[in-house]
Amino acid sequence: MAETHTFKDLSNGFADAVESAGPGVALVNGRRRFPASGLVISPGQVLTADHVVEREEDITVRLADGRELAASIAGRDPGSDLALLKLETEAGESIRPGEAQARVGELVLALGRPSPAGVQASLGVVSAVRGAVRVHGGRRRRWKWSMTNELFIHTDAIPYPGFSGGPLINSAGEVLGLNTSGLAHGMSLAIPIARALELAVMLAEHGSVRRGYLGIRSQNTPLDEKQQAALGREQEAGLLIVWVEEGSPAGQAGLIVGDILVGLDGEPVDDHGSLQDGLSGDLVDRAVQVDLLRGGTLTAAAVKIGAH
Amino acid sequence: MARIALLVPGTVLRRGLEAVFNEDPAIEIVYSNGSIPESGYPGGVDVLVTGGPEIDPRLVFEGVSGSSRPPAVLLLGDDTGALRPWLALPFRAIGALPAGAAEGALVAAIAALSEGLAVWHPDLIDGRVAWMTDPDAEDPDRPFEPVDPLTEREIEVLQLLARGYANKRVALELSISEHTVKFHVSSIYGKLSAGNRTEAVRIGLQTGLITI
Repeated sequence: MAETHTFKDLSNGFADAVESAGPGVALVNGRRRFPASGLVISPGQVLTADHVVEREEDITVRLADGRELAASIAGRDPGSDLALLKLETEAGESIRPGEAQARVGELVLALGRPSPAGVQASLGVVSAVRGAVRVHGGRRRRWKWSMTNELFIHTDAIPYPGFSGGPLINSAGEVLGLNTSGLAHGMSLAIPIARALELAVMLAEHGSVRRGYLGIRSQNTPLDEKQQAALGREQEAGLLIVWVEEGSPAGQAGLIVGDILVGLDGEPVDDHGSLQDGLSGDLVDRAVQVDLLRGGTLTAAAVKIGAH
Repeated sequence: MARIALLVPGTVLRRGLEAVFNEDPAIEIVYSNGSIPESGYPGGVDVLVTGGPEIDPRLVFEGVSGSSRPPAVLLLGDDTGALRPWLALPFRAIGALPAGAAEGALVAAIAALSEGLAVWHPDLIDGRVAWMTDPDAEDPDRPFEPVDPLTEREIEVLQLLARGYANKRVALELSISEHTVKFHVSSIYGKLSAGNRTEAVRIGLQTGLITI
């Protein structure tokens, strides 16, 4: 029966994809509870989720071939939940990053290696590539929906314990993203692999993600219809500036408490993630346009971005 | 006979609800769809069953406000924050159950709401009744503020954690011992109710503790 073959082919296809991606998935032992997973991005370098690396010493990584190696933190960025580990030797088989972006509806597998017994998998579809993320917030720490402009891959693949740091792969066994349940309290999100590798390069070079510096503290604020009309586009939120450091790039450019930051360098800013993303590019020492809502009117300021 | 309308975007959940309500001879489903009908709601609906962030309460109310008797609304979902805009609108009665409510609870809720009685699942009203009835009570949805504010030193430590500094480097930067850094980090976690650095930094950014 043709149907039977199709099902068998599909099933074999998934198993092949896991077999092909599995060697690049490592076990990361960096916390008290159960281990988590990591991606070998080049021999001797393992990229994982920052939140699974709870200690700074006595970290070990177990590769797919069973070798257990000592690892040290080469760099970490809690903001994007990525940590780069350096192994004691240049070992490990690298993952194959996918070139295409994840497509909504695409069947994907989340892989993890939380135990020495082998690689584990869970099946799902790409539910969204950006949008609402359910976050834990509020005084009583309740769940609520928060729109995010950050580019994450949302899937309904179950993130089993220890899957954080593992890959989200497509049917060809190519890595689409690095799974983490640390960014939105257990929700299955993946950081797109191209972005993760870009940040990994910064972590390897500088030990941290170098971000431009504005010198502000801010809080999320929703934009009402009038404010969106003044802005000239649909944007549900911005960042209300609650503090400006004297003499900082923002202070020198005349940003004041009460301004709502809505854009940076032509890109909308609707949460801290999008601002951090915007500042992680090569903006330092450049004069960049910052869009602000001040007293209900859209205004722009040129800010010469500083460095920490 | 209670006449109900289902306005539930999730097909699986909607089909499940249809199956439950079709079983009950005292309930008649007069409309079932994932979105607001363009032609307006069918008249004489006793209870509208809905929920989810896609459904705008104001649009729903506009859709039914022309009818002589607005329906009661049964909201399904686990997000207590989503109840608030519904409560502000003059529906006949409001009820709320978690998305995974048992069949018996769903049927009982329809019976109560069609009589104009409110229905609340205990999991969804913790701390909310006080807020609804007491004008001085704290809004459970207000942004998180640490009950115990962070000290200047803790803010400095958090700032450096956000840059990805390891404890050792934080210690060096602030000329304090690594042991003291660990002490500050654990205090930050406690005050921000964070489980790890990622979370502490995220909360720190969102609450304006970290300078960007």
